[in-house]
Amino acid sequence: MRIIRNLIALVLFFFLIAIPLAVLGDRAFGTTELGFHLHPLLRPTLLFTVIQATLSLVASLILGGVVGVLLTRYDSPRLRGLLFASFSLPALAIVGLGFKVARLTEFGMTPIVFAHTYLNAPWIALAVIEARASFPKAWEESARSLGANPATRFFRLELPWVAPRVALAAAQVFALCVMSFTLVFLLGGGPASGTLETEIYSQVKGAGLDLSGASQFAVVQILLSALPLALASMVMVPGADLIDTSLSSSESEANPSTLKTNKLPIKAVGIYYALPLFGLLVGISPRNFINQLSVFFTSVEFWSALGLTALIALGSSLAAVLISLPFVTAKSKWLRSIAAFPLGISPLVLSLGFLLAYSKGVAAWIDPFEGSVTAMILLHGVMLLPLSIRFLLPVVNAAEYPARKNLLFAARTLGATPTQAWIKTEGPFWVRAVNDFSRIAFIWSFADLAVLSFFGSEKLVTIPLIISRLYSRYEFDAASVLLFLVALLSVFILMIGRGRK
Amino acid sequence: MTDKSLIVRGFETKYPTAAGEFKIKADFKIDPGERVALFAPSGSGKTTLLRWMAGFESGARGELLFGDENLTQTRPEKREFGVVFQDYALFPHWTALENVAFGLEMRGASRSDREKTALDFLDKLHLRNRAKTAVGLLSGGEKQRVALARALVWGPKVLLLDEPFAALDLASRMKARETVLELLSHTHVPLLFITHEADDVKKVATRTLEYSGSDDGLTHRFGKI
Repeated sequence: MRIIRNLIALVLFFFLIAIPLAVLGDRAFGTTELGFHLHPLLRPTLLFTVIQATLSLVASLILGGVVGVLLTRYDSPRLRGLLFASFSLPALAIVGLGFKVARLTEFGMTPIVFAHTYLNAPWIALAVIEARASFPKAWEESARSLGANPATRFFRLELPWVAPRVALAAAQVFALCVMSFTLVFLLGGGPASGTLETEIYSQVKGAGLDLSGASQFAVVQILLSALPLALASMVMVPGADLIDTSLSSSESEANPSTLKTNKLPIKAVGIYYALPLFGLLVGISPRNFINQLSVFFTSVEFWSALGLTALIALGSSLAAVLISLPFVTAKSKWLRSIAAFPLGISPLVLSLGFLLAYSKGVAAWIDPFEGSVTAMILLHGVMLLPLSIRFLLPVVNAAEYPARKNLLFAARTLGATPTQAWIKTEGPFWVRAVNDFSRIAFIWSFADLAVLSFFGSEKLVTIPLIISRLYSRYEFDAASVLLFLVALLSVFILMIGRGRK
Repeated sequence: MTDKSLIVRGFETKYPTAAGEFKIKADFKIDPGERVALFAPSGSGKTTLLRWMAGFESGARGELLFGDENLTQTRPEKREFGVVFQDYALFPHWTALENVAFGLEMRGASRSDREKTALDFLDKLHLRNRAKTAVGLLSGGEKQRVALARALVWGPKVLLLDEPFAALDLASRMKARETVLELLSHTHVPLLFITHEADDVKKVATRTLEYSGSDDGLTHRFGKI
């Protein structure tokens, strides 16, 4: 059984990740009849990508770092959940706020960096909070009992503990800024602000089809986003592997009255997320808002796009869970680590790999002209794989605890079959994890402009594509109203089923 | 050598629980060279009391005196109390030598002095050959000895040990008791240690702190009140 699971995981990895990337690599650096040549836009585009990602990272580190330090004392699962929700905050939702900045300055670097910072600073804040909160209190106390002052404790113990964790988050943010499509595409203002990601799109969906050029942008982008991630993950947290967790901590006699229960930070983070939502409506009169709504609600294209986008989002959530199952149950660290690959690959890079690998030849199932819903769902499933594993792996690991195993055995001794016992004891944990994951996956997939545009066509129009078209036609009010609806839907999806145990 | 006693006067802390208000009270004195056992049931507030004495618990009433010196408001790093934590709280990424030398470093000892002193101490505990090993890689008994060395090497005024033998098996426990007694024979400080084992009390303590608990389990008193 275990071998079969491992085999399925490997086959999925090869078909969904390895083969598309291999074909892409071959296409990028393979010679044609005209010989090998680098795309002329590669160097300037790489330079712009690095500069915007670096500036976005620095700004995110400053904002997220300060917020993280301030909020550590109010650390709670709710606060962490709220900060983690930045992952599900659609990049599209920030576009409205980015446009406001762009109108004050100009399209290009400034609104891109602003939007990236807005979207990614919560990641840094979360990393700072998690790292500081996980710093062993016993180290702090023993250092104090030995006479260490605050500066010594910070530099000798806390900083070496916190820095590698924040470095990993910083590498993730850098990679996200390198791979960002929606924000750069809509706020960049044209080719002068093109990044590797938007150039991949332009080379395939723009005026002239250049798959080799697109592949070169893709390969360079993989290296650029994966290198910092690889470096950061090699930096080990000092002592993390040497902590003896078998030793119990001191008697649990902490005074509960000392716990911080201030709800202000939760509200502040909530307002931070709500700001783009309401910022979209600034400058739109109620009458105009209602008019725009009625235009959408009476449009066949809108309802058709809504249905299709929801279908793709549902399918993507389901695909991500199904794809991740063999990986989380494989009990192989190696398989789980290769499942983290999509963290360093952008949706468009993999989309290009899919297009190259599966649109011609014996394995062809993608029609490059008609688009492909299957490709959209599978690609989203793969991109969501690391997140799915993050949600499901704790359930699998917890099932190994003796107390949880005993639940299963107890159900069996009461007359339940193995399946009934599993459904009654393990089932609720899986339902909860899948429910939590699916809501985030749905929102992410629903608002992803990259893949939905790449594999979209005149017959496959989705909501993000409509928004993109409205912006490109300078119909800002209509785009903002539609974005507001998407953001409202995101909030609604996040709220339903919240707190269900 | 010290000739000052450690005095806990009018200690009282309370916090609400589902069953009612939980109270811990204490009043006692430990003379120099005394080894006093805090021997009471789980959940009676032993660790809370010890942590308050070390300076890690706030919100309690009472005074902590060392001779005439009132340490109640003194920060933990200024109290000069050697503490051995229940899980030892060693810095796992540092070597045994670095852990033991840290207290000396905080008191301004030069690198060569502190390394020499720490090595001599480790030698006494038969740990010289483990001095350069990360403590995360040591056995339970070795960690316990390093923790003791770290708390003692810089000459603290008072020693507080929170279940120092709890994580050890029977054989290591017997050996550890001997080690503690041997180390304490060179010092003359007041010592308070928490234990759940009557054997620890018998072998290590010079006396046991009086304890009484109310029938409802909500009020716990240590010392003569």
